[in-house]
Amino acid sequence: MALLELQNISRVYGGVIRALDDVSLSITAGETVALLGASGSGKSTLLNIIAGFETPSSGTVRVAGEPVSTQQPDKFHQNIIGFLFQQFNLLDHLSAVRNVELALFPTCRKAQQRYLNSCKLLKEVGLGDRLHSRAALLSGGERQRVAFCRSIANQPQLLLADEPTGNLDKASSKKLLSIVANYMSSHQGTLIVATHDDEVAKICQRSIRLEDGRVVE
Amino acid sequence: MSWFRQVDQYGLVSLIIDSISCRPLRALIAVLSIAVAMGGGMTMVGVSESLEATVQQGYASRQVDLMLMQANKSNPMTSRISETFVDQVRKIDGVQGAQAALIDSLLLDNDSGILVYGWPPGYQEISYRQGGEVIELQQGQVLIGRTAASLHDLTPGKTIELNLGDFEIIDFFEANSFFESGVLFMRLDDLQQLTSARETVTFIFINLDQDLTESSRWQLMEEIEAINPILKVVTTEEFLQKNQLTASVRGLGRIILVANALLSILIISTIMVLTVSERRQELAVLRAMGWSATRVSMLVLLETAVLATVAALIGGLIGLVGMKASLIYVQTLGVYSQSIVTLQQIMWLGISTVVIATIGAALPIYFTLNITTSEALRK
Ligand SMILES: Nc1ncnc2c1ncn2[C@@H]1O[C@H](COP(=O)(O)OP(=O)(O)OP(=O)(O)O)[C@@H](O)[C@H]1O
Ligand SMILES: [Mg+2]
Repeated sequence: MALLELQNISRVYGGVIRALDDVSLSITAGETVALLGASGSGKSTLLNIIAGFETPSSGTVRVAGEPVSTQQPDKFHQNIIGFLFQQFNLLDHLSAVRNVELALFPTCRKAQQRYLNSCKLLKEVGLGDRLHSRAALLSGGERQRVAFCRSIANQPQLLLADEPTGNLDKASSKKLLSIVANYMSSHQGTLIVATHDDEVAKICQRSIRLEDGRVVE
Repeated sequence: MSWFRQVDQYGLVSLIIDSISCRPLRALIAVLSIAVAMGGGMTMVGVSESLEATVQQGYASRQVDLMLMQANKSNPMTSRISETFVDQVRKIDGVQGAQAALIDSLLLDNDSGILVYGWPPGYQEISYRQGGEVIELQQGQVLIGRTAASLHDLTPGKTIELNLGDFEIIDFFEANSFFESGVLFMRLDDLQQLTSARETVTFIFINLDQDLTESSRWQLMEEIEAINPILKVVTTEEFLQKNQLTASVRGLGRIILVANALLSILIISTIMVLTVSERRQELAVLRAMGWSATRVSMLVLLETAVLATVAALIGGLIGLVGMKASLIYVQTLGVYSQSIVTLQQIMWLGISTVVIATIGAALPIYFTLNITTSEALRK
């Protein structure tokens, strides 16, 4: 059965801008998908709707057969969705380990446990020596790795990423992508990543192209 | 720190401490502004309460029940009535005693003003002890309260000039209220002569029989006023309520307290709104990770409550210092008061400060949580 199913999704802004126009698609568990398309084609809008950050004007999103609109949003974000942003969206004033811990707050009651789990994740992405550095002082590549740890901290069923390498240089991108690819293969994770970057598309098994809010391939 | 980990198993406290200490400037501004707002309010309320309580003490210690004065005087200190009413009042059934007093402020050594009470012969306020004997003041002699003495640098034995007349300070007056320890006491006839107020007094203090019923008290008051239409009789409580000084200070205190409360809400809201773009992203990120609206609000409100608690402690100190300083300043104007503020009052003020600050923080959060996550995260 499909993990994610979109049925006739449309999103209209201000009554005129059709960011998404009747999008239907289905993604099975364990698939890694690159979402391609020109700027303004609707990639971010689609990811935001899947993530439940905004609601579609019409159509239904189903995850594991359940319509997202009927799910309890906090639980949905805790357990099902992980999200990587282009701008990282870390809490800049807090340390790296704190940022990861924040994701575990709603799901794990023990402070000690959260801390140890977060440290472990950060060490796995090569940030063992930056645990207590403030996020604001990390490089872009390091920040995105912290953000990645945060996004997978609760082992989500579906990882969404919106141009995760958009603000990174070549070397940092490469490092991040190998980490993501590794994680996906070792956890049979499902990934949808919006990108302009061919390198990103290369780590994905499948690609979907959007044009003016419609799926073209 | 393992005990702390034990207490804070859930880690909320350490997250809040972290969150505050990572933005020290914002925390400092918030704490200082709340503290100043609370300290200012506390100063004003403290001064008004203290003045009121101090003046009240003086009357309570003399067991004055009623005050007789000139009708239609908004400032009771300008009341002037004839001394002869005292005898008429004494004759009324239910009156235990009545004393006339003239109160005026005189020019001391051609320099500063000083409040002077003139009491009639036989009254204990103008007598002193010498070798076990009680001696009454002679003409040309005064007693001085200790506060007045230290303020004007005077001691018994010195001669002073009051409205161009020479007076000898005989002794200290052991006042039973702080207010009156800032006063000079002399014979009524001396004061009447100095102020050209022959046979005139400011008030007549009346003590009543203890066992009077409420209705016979009212009747008695009417009877006293019936002596002459120029007279007005008020209860001591009523007098203190009308007393311009305490009433105006009290009124001002309340206004400033309310203004301070509004100001604190405004200050907190402003701080929160100013940082709202940063804060909005932060709160939206937490929401995106599955933090419930309640959990997010709790975090921010607790954070503010912690700041406000620190601020309330500092504000309490500012208030105490401000109150002392204001009362010292008021003393130089010739009004003497102790600072009488109870721990309970300070506690209530502190608690309201924390509540007000938290409300101030709640408003911007409310608006932030009302927008969708994708809107909040769009740069
Ligand atoms: N909140 C909004 N209000 C109005 N129009 C919007 C809003 N969000 C997106 N749009 C419009 O919807 C269309 C799709 O935007 P979207 O951000 O999904 O594109 P994208 O494919 O992610 O582009 P890019 O590659 O530049 O990130 C654009 O024309 C955009 O202007
Ligand atoms: Mg986009």
